[in-house]
Amino acid sequence: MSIGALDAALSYGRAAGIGKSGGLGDLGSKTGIGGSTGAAASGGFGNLVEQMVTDTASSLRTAEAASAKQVAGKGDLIDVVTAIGAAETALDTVVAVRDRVVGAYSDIMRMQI
Amino acid sequence: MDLKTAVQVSASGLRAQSLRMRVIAENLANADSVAQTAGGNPYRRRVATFKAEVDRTTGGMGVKVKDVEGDASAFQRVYQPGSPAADGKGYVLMPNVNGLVEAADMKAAQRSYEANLNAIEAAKSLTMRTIDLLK
Repeated sequence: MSIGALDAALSYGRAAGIGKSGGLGDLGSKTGIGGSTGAAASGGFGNLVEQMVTDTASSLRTAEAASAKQVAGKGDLIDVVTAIGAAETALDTVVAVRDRVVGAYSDIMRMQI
Repeated sequence: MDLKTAVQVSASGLRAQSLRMRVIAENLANADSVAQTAGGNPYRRRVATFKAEVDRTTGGMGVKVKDVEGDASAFQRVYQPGSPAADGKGYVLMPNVNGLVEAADMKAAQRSYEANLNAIEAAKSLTMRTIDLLK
């Protein structure tokens, strides 16, 4: 999931940088990256998605640690439930955003030149 | 996000109510626990008290168990000359635990726990529906 989404996001970020005058450029310029097309990690959407993926991974790890503790008989059930809930929400959000980004990428790929 | 904070606040409610349930269980279990020595004091009923507390990380006003205090009401005196806990006159002090009071308290704790569970469920469903707007 991660590589495809990140690639798509990066390309989308570059596209946003080129069409800077529109709404996409505004999104990019918020992080101060919208204008540049050079460095690989500098796409506005790329950074956004990368950040989201990192956050999701860390909340999933927290949930996993809480579950492991619970199974070992040392954890708190309420902690497990809230951690898994937070991880689920984060994952759902990142998947929804990924779908939108990939959808936008495909739209650009199908664009008539 | 505020819905996430709402879940954290409700989780603090769950923790507080589960501790209250524990204290009630202790009271019920010790309803007949008399003194260890002759003429001494028996088990004293305990009550959990709560206070509102702001969680520094989320900023939500959660609940916290302030203290578990002893109930100051008087012990019941029962005439049981044969008991090892009896004083010189043959009276034994019984714990100030009332089964009916504990049952009512337990029901209240249970309802409060359920209310917090429902709040978590509502916050979660709202979050999911918001995410669904993207799809």
